[in-house]
This record gives sequence, structure tokens and C-alpha cells, in this order.
Amino acid sequence: MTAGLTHLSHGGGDDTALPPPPSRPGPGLSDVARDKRLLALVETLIPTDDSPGATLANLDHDIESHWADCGAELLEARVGALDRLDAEARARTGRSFAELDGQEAAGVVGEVESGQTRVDWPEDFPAEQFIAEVIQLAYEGFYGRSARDGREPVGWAILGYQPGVT
Amino acid sequence: MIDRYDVLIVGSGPGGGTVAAHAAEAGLRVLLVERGAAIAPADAPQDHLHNTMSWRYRNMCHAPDSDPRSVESAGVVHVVEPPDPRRIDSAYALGGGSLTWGMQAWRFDPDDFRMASKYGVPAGSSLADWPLTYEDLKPYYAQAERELGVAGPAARPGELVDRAYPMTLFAPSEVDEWLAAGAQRCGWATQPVPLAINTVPHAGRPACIRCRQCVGFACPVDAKNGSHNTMVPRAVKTGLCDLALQTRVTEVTTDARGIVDGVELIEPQAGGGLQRRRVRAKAIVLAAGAIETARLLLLSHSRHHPGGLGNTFGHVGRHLQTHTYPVALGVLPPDVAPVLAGPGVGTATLALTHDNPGVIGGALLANDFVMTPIAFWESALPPNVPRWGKANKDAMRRFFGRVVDIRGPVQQIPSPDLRVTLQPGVRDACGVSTVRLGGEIHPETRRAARFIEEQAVRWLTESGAQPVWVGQQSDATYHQAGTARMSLAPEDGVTDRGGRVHGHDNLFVADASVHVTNGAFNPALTIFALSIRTSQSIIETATAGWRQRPTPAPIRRKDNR
Repeated sequence: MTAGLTHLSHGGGDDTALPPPPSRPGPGLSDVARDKRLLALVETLIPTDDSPGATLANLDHDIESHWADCGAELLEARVGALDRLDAEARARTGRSFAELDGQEAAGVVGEVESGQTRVDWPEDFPAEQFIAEVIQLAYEGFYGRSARDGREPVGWAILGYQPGVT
Repeated sequence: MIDRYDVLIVGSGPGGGTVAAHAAEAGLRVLLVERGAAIAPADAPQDHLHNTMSWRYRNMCHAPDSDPRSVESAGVVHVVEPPDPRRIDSAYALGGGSLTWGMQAWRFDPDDFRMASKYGVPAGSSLADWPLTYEDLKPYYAQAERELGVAGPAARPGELVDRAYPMTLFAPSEVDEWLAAGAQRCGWATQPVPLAINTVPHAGRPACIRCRQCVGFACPVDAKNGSHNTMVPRAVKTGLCDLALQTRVTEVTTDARGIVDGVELIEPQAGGGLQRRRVRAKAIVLAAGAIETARLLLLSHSRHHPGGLGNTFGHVGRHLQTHTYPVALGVLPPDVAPVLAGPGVGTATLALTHDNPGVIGGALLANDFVMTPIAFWESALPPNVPRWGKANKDAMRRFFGRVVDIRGPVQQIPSPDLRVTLQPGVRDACGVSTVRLGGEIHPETRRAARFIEEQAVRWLTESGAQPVWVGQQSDATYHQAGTARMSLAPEDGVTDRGGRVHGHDNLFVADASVHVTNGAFNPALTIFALSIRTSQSIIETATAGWRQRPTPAPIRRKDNR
């Protein structure tokens, strides 16, 4: 089994398990709990409205799998970044990032993205870089089809897009 | 594979495939060496993140083992592996870049062949005329259009399209007509974009299905015409052409007198692993792209050729060019139907390729290909749209398909310092020295690109797009050219006007390395046409047999290693 966020998490997160995402081919963490901070972050980036958002697209799971594939050192740095994002939320609201409503979460992400941080971030992986990375990975998962799993991205239906080839 | 051929070709892209077809059909025994694999249409990757047009995860089709290149920028050297776009790679596959290309099959303009005469030579540049003219190449362009299978306009509005194309294009879209009207208000004529694509069943392959993933992808129905499905099959059909796939040439070999006599290559073994092998040929043709062709010439140094082959005057690797692409984008008016079917590129103006005020050269401008959703998110949302969140999601729904992208290949002004050299100490997985790409784009290229960008904005504005904005201007990571430029005199270049390397009667270059300048157009049709022309000299050389060749006379040498 691949090491995941919930195994490496060391404080700051709410470990209440969410339903596991559906299993799919390739390396994944379908048997472990989803990290609610990462889930809240990607849902902030691509919110659910009258159409599916990041949650239904299981983007947290995909990103977590991607990080796990990149090795324990990288994964641990991302876990640390989620811890810091959580600390940023607590510093502003007294609550965990996963407990914020959409507007509050967007406010925290916006400030952290622009470098307005209230906790210390490592120089070699600053807050802006972490947020930019998650944005990129989330949108790639939402709108981009990867050979990694071959499934149709959730975002295509929202745009009425079909590539026209099977 | 046998040990001795008439013609040995390195690289199966537009140049190599074309030479293979013509040489084999002339009855010569041919070995076509390709570093990548053959990719069947059914296996064409449909990955929207990993394709040759993705700046982030470019996929070379056949991922090589460690193959670093060093890229020098502002005095700092970065060692980069595939798929980093700074490497300026083409697809590593049978057919090379023509497997995944955008199929734009333009002829160069007559003025593209005489840039120095027309504009003078700017300081710091190596701008020069070609040693041949458009008229010299014109019959080969027509031949290439027929052999490749180009769909062009039914009407022939100008000299550049003065021959009947094998196929006619798809009917223009509402966007094409809207752009034509806007161009007219700018005082520019427009014309359809010639495409090497089957618009009807042709040459035993089906017509394009108008899918919405095109440039950067191998065609899933094999309707995109490239070297892999036109030239290479012709060569193989003769029974005289052996294909050596996933095989790498590491050196062009010479005999004791310094005469080219074959190559050293690394091929896969039947039971796994790799083995080195030496293969001899009467004529060697380098068609590996402007970077790898230059690399091979530089790697092939010896006592007789201490600076590498063809490098007596230090030109090998210099004058590296691609194209610089300005981009303007605009939102379609509500009454114009968006382009929802591929390929998408349809209308061009050639009014800006030359004779522009205050700049050297110029570019064609055309609307671009249909975009995948992730490419649209990356590059085509209006500038005031937030990068994420509800507003981004709303904007994607509102604007996807409704943004028109105008862009064009600005002719780069060559510089002797923009070059490919060997990078000491950095070797690939096979232990072969690798290259460094260094130098800066010439300021005149930047000036021309700014001008063309302004015109692209003007076109969209006059067409009625609202809003209109400037996209990310970039120096293309494809269209590599210039590193073995042709010249009349040996001291001015690497090959003669027939692609033969100066001082070597049996060593040829058949790719865009020979381009003195790279045109205001996509260059692939010129590679096909030139390679048909070059094939004649190659066939003559290889037909002459194993004759005693004079030792090349050593002349003044500049060490370019």
C-alpha cells in the first residue's frame, strides 16, 4: 500500500474519515481516509455549484496519489504544507481549514497564494508555490484527460466538450 | 539489418522519410534509422496533459532513457531531461514531428530566400540569402504537395498556391468568414490554410473525422499526413528499405583517409539490452532535426576532422532558429458560431510576411487549432478572470470555444551565437556526449514579433472581437532549423545547395538544419520539398558505387566542438 497523507499527518488535520473515493486503475489510496484539508482546498479551487466540482471529481485523491508517486520526501513536504495551511486558517478564524465555509476558505487561500502568510513557511517550498502547485494539479485533473487513468474528466461535461474520438 | 547499404538515413521525419522513399524507389538499398518507435493509429495517445503541445508535460511518444540537454540562459546552464520544452524536442517516433504536427503545409515566400539582399544584415546577426531561390524549389513544392497529400483552396488566389492541390479543404466556418471580413477592414487579403490532411479518403486512408484534439496529437484515424504514413510506407513497400526502430546513431564514421564510410549505432538486442554495431553505406544522410544532426556532426570528430564533420569553418551548430510566436486572443461576438470541429485553423493572411514598416521580415497570421479544455484554461481565458474559484468555473463555461486565437511564426533573425555545442561532462544513458543550447534571440526578431503582435490585436479588433488581449509570446519549442546551413562557398556554411556537406561527397543533410533562414511560415513543407530535391544528389552518389574518393583537402579550421 502506498503511504498517504493520512498516514503521514501529524497534527492539524481532522482525521474523521470520509467515504473513500471509488477505486480506479493505477496507484491510489482508495482504502485510506481522505484528507479533509486537501479536500476542502480543492473544493475551494473548483467549487461545486449547479454542476460538479472538485469533490465529485475526486481531485484530492488524484493529487494525493500523484504526490505519493513522487516519493516520501515530496509527500511529507506537502503534508507539512497542508499543516501550515491549516495553521493559517486557525490564525485567522480559530478553526481548521476544513471547517471554513466557501467564502472563508477562499479568503484564506487568496491571502496565502499572494504570500500574506501568518505562519512560517519553508524557503524551499513557500506558500505561493504550494498553492500554485495544487491549482495546477486540480485543474489538470478537472479538465485534462491523462493516460494515467484514461477516464473522462468531470469538467468536460460542464463545457459540453467531447474530443470526438474514442 | 545488414552490414552495408547504399544509403543510410538517420531520422524518419519529413526529411529522412522522403529521402528513404525516393532512394528505395530508385532501386537503392536503404537503411532508415529511427530513435523512436512506430505508433499505430489505434495506439495514438489521447492524453491531454502529455502531448507535444503541452508546455508542462510534453510527451516525446517514445520516452528515451536519460538524455540530458544543457540549456544556457543568462549565463546559467541548466541540465534538462525530456520532456522539458526548453530542449526544443520533436516527437521521438516513426515520422518524427510529422506524426503530431499541425499539418500546415505552407510554401515559403520568394523573399524568404533572400532576406539579406532584401533587408541588409543587422549587426550581430548572420542573416544571409539562401543559395537557391523560390523558383528553384517551386517544382519540388508542388511535388511535395502531391506526394504528401495536401488539402488546399480550390481557388488559387496567388502565386504561392499556383498548383492544384490533391484535395480541397473543408468548407470555411463562420469564424473564417468573420475573420476574412475583419482582415478586409485592415486592408489585408486572406486565404485558407493549406493542410496536409485527408479531407476525403485518400491514399488508402480515411478522411479526417473533425475531432477536437488535433495539433500535438497523433491522428487516431490516420488522416493526418506525415512522413510515417506517406513516405516511409513507400520506402518499405519496395522491399529495399530496412527500418531500424528504437535505434540510435552515435557517430558518423570515417576511414583512415577521413572519408565518410558509415555509422556507429546502438540497437536493441533480441533478448533485451542494447548492442553497438557499425554499418557501412555509400551515402549517409542526416535527418535527425537541427539539434541532433548538429550533435552527430560534432560528435563525429577524428584526426582528419578535429572539429567534427563539415565544421572546417565552424558553422556546425550555429544559426539555430525556431520561430517566435506572438499571440492575440479575443472573444467572438454572440452572433458568430464558434468552431467546434477540428482542425480549427482555417484563415490566414500573408499580408504581413514582408515589407512591414521598420522591421525585418514578419509572419503569416492565422487563427489557431481547436483547443482542449485544459489548454484553454491554461492560455485562453480573458485576463481579468481569476485563476481559480467560482469565477473561473463560470468563465470556463462562458468562454470555452468562444475565444479566437490569432498567432503566427515570426521569422527569426539568425545569430552565430545562437547555437548547439557539445557540453563537456554531460553524457546520455549510452555514454554519448550531449549538447548545450545557448545564445539569445536577436533584437530584430523581438522587434518584428512586437509588430506582428500589434497586427494580430488589430485583426481581432477590426473583426469585432470584444475583449481583445495579448497572449503569452513564446519562442517555439519546435521548428528547429539552421545548424547546418547551406551555402555556395564552403566558408559560409555546412552544406551546398543540394544538401551535400562541403568537403564530403557522400554525406548529406536532409532536414531543416540546412535552412539558411526559416521563413515566415511553418517549415515542414519546405523540408519535404528540399528533401525531394536533395534525394537526386543522394541517388546519384549512391548509384555511383564504392568508388575511390579523394581525401578532402584540409582548409582553415575553426574548432567548434
